[in-house]
Amino acid sequence: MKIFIILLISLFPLFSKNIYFVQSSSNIQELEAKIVSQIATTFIDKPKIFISGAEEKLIFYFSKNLTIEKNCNNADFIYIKKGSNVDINNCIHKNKIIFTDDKHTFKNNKNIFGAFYWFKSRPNVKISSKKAKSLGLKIPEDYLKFLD
Amino acid sequence: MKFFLVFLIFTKILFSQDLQLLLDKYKLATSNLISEKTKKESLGHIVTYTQQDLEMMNATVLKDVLKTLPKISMQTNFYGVSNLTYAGNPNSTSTSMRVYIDDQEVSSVQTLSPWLMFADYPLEHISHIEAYYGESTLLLGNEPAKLTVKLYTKKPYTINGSILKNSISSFGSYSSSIVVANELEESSLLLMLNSSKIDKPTFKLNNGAVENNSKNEYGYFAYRKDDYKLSGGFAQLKKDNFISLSTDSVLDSSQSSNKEYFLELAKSFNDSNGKIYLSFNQSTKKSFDKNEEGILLAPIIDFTSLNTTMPKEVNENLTLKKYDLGISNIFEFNDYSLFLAGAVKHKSYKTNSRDVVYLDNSTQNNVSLSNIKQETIYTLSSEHSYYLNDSNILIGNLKYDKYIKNNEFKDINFLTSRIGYISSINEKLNLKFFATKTFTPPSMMEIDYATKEDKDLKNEDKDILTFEVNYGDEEEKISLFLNYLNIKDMIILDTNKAGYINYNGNFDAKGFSLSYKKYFTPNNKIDLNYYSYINSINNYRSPRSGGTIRAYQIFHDFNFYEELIYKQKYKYDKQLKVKDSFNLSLGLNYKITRDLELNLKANNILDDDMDVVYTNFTDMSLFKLSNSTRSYTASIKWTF
Repeated sequence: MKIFIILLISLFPLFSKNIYFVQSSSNIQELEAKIVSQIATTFIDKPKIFISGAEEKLIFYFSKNLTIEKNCNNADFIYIKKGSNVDINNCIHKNKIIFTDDKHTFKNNKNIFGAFYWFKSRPNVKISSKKAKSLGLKIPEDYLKFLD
Repeated sequence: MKFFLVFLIFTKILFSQDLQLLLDKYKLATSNLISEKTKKESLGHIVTYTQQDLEMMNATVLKDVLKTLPKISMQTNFYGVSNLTYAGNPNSTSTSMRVYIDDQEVSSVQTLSPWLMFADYPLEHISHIEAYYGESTLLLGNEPAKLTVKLYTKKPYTINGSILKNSISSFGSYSSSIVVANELEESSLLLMLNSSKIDKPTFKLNNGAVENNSKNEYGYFAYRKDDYKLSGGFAQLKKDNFISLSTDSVLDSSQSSNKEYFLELAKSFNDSNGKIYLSFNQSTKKSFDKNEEGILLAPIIDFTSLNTTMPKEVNENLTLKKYDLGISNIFEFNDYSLFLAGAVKHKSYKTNSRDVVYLDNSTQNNVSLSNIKQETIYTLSSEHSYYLNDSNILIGNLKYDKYIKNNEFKDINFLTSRIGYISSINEKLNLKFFATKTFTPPSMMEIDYATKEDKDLKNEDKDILTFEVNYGDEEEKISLFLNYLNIKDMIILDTNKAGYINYNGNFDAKGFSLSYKKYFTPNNKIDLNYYSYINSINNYRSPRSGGTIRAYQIFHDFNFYEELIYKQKYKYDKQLKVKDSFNLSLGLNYKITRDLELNLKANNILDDDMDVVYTNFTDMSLFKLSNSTRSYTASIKWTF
């Protein structure tokens, strides 16, 4: 009986083996880039992204389907990293999607479209419904749960 | 055409990642990264439980995790405390085992053991746990430790909200925890409060019943601003004293009330490689035992006139304090790094009262068990790491300790030395080797309970060799750990002399632990371990061999966890046979919504946990009680 239980426990994980693809644990920066890319491509067909305050390493992980702009004025999606000292007021940003990973930047600035930060003990995305409206963006159904 | 459609759907699955799935992956990757960052390979041999492990294990209190550690048994000792012992060692109060909450040590000043107050420590605010084996962990604190358990609190940015968890368990136990943490503009704050009632079934012995119920309360806070951190907390515990020191194993009545407060101010510098800290702990211990048949408070008993010297009631009130000041820094050079640290620790032990009623009804107040009142420890420590190349590190440690107690006791001066070698032979194969010469000082409790002839116990001298080899990658890993230990002047409880003594004979021990870990997916893994231990006197007082199987799976909104803890049969003290035991637990988590989670756990389903051996001192007979009985827990966790 006990041998049977030991065998059963040992084999438990095999039962669910095919649920996911086998994958190595992903790199944090790679995942951050994927999350931002995912949001950008959801709202803009071929986004041109300006990243403020990011290390070279992060930029490296952005999808090759996107354009990384060095000049904020040429971008249509601005991603402001926490601690970044770039002032977006120096850039024409009125009709651009501005995204951040800083809770306080998001809460304190009405121009920010959305943010990616931890709350409720998990990484989460918040999208400002007011800003989405003013930008004339339609929120896809699977993004409704992220609306602030 | 069909082939093209299938191909299109397949590539869409592969390349268009759902945002929620990405966020879940990000959480897992952060959990692994945070635990990886604190791991210090040069410290020695380590077992890590990541945030994901803790969540999947349904671990609510610290002992849920520690009971699965290789080479360790967690047994209920005669005070009713879940005490950790190394395989084969006696199940009394294990000294020189340390628990740190972040960088603050919370082990008892009196016993040098944390398990009375912290075995049931709640984990909702804990990010991950590291357990470091053996005395090779020189850098973690300024006192030697046989086992160091480090609890890292969650980074407030990973919470940004609150967690409320309520549990109910068999026998009327319950627990409530709340954690609030927020990242403020320039600072961060973490708060935790917990209240639990832990009831266990009453054991019926021939001459009565023994109880081991407790009421626990815990609190913790950490405020961080720039490089400063102010943290503190409290632990309060009211409990029955279980068997305690009753001669016939059954107390007539008992109650103990323990409180501990701790506070630390720390500043990090040099890119967090350096730290300066000042900390304070205070604990009070009030305990009352009554037993008409007698209480074996050996230090005050004259065994030739029991009636006038053996207590039947003991009522004690103790206050213990600890002040700790230290500084450490790491100096990095090209292929050499130097760690330097210095610390001063002062401990005081005050007996506010210890009132005793003897068997003949005579009374005595303020009875003293020994003259130990205080201890000051000065420590200087260094670690030299030479990077021979990218994959080979040679490590040398020197640590000088001076222990000064009050006048009646000799000072302890000890130079701890260690050499180590860590090598990554290739991407899959790495090994570690350490040779350490160290010591274990006697605890104040051991001095109290030392024989009347010699209260001034010497420190244990230890020579330790450890070797670890790991082979594998992120998906599969096999590890072998070998250790050899030689102890001179080992501090043991001598039942003939009724007290702790320094054992004159030579004692050595050898052990191994073999582990295998396989990830089927990042959320789906199995962990196997088997260990065994042998000592030169061929005498064991807890299981000397055992193993664990832990399996975790996530299936949509369900988590499954299976855990089997096996302890091999052995002969206690060469006298009493203790059978094989199979402690099987199953856990199930169901995410009702993304914010609400239901946890169900069945502990010791087979009702076959290990038997723990106790002594009935009236006739020196041995008897066994099961370490735990079958129990069920249901919890609901709300994050908001």
